[in-house]
Amino acid sequence: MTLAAPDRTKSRTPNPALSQHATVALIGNPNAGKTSLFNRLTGLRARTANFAGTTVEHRRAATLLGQRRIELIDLPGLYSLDAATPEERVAHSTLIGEATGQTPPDVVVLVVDATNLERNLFLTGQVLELQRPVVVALNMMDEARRGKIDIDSDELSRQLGCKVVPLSARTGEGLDELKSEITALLDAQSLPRVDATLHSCDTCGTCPYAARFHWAEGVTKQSVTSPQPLPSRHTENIDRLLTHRVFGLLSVGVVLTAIFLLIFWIAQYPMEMIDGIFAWAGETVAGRLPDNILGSLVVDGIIPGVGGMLIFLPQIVILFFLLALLEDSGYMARAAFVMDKLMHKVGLPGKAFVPMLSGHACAIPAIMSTRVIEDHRDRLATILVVPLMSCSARVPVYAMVAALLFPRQPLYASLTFVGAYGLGIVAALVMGFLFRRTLLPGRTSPLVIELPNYRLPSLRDALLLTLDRAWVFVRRAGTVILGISIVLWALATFPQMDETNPPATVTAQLSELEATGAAADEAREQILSRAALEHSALGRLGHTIEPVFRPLGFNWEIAVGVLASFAAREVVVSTLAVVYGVGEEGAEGDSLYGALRSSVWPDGTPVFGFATCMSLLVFFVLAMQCLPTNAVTRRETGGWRWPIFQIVYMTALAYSAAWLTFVIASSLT
Amino acid sequence: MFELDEQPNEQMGSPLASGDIPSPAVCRPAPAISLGELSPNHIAVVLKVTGEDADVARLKALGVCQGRQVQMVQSGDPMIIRVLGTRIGLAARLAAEVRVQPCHSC
Repeated sequence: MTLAAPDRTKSRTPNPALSQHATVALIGNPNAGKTSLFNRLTGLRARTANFAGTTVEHRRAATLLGQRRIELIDLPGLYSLDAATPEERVAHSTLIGEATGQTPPDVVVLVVDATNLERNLFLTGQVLELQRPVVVALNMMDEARRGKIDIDSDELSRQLGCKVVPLSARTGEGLDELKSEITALLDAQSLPRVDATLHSCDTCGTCPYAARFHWAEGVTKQSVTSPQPLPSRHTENIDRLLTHRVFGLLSVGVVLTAIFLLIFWIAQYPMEMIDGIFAWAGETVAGRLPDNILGSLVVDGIIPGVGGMLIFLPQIVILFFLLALLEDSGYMARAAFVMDKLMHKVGLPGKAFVPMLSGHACAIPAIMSTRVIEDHRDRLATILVVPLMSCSARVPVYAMVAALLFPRQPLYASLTFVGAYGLGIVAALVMGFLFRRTLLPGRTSPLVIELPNYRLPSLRDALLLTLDRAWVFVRRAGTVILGISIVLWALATFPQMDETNPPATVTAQLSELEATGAAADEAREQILSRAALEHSALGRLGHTIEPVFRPLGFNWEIAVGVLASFAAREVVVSTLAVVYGVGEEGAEGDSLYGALRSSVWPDGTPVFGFATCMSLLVFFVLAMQCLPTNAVTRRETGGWRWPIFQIVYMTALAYSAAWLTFVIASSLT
Repeated sequence: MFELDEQPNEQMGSPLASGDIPSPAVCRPAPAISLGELSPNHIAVVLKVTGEDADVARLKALGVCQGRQVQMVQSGDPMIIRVLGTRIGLAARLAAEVRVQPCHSC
């Protein structure tokens, strides 16, 4: 790549057609404050979208600029336009208007970090060469002044051949000037005119990067009196601890433990509230809707299904928010730096560490946060193994098994949890290693990461990002869950049993109940609903596939639970409650555990013995059982191939591991 | 790990702090070494970056390319270097692709 010949003709053509749907694109280095500026210009109106035909995400917003409606596009933060990564390719094709269904943006706003001009000028040079109408937003002027960096913006403007607006997205200074410069460029498109003398480089040899950096150095020398940013003492001191071989690892441990404590501690309140709201909504609606199929669809299908998904929203939102704060503060780069060597041992990059850890709260934000991994294969391997981490939806299942196995032994019960979490981590690392050896061969990308200066994160930016991401979650996961809840409800409802004429076994049970003389409307209800479920398609399916799950020690009731939890794993507990006839309300209490414990095989041995419990636990640690995650994997990998592979490999892994567990555990007892 | 404490930049008469960018010719000839071998706090000028893959391209785009000045902040694997005023975390495997001329005699 060589520097283009300077454009000597400064074209000035008014373009009235632009006044309708003018687009303005923001581009800049990572950490140049591009997102802050975008948020300043647009506020809450932004939405997240993918570039057509890619998995690269960006934010865009329609906003008013004076009297004019413009569409503002926030391109991904990058160091160059070399088309080496998908982000760079997308940014490049968007800028020159090659992107599918797009015209080039009418104005490009180049966001440049004033405290680090020389580095930022590299990308600037590449953008100027594309010969689009450009205005440079010289951001972080407040910090530059504090650092005694004196920038002559008029000189810089002369050197770059385009307007330069000094501003600070943080304080808001200079924003009005930027807006009027954008307006001026929209009125009369003028192209940047780069000074010809800056294109020559005698010492650069054959390296195109060198030529650009030489140019950047020249421009910086001309326009800045303290061109080399002084290292931040602050950052150096903190980093001496946080990137230390030993203390660095310890700090990662402390920071992340703190995050998880915060998530689980803060989230419990809104979770209880959501739970309460949906329970209340279910009752209220049940009271108003007629007691027919439609009512049942809403009360038994849609409300609990959507509620079961939304209950995890607080955890997801808090995780998104804390990750955004940590990212903005500069800490994430340090965590990746410190973990890189350890992660390389299993063939994954250091940048995969934070996503894998986030997977312990929920795989969905974790998969979304794999975007920091540049290498395609590294990223894919991480996405594939993240759902093996024990997310919070598995907790109810673990709790059930622990209570069944060790009802009055809290130590063993907590060891069950530790074992389940450990199994998930080990499985993820082993599978990651195997994928990098077989399916996604090649060396793991070596670490190259900017360690930006630490700074106080912006609450506003983190909040906006969190809202965005949470909305994506609700939309994607919500639609999938809504559909699945309806399908599951239908399977569990049809074909309907004729309650006035139940099968002989049920009649026998009912008369037995009556013989005891107990005033047992509830018990009668439970027997009937269990019979109804057994009669339904889901119940029949459970019976049909029982032989498949028999080697794992599962009976047809558990098989139904596994099927029902295909969409969302925590459903297994409430399904078992229904199948065992204790009713949904019994799922929490001891009545479910009592029913499960007293359940026996035809030969009289208990179903939920040690072997079956262990096998059930292992199955739920390793099985995919979460369609919203699949939907997100599809979105992030751009097709159905990988999510399907994810389901298949995890189910196969879960099945074989559970079988092995059952065989070994059976021989032990 | 804490050796940086005793050697603040000012002591080095660091060209990074003064803003002068020495060309390799200014330095007294010192044997070229790989970037990973540079001692903590020492400064060098990049002579050549070998390799062509995407990782090397990322490294170059961050400023580790012919003619740029780099400073070792913390050696090891991964190491921290400073280039163009920014701290970069870098794996030893990539640093091995970078030939530099140390400037400690500048």
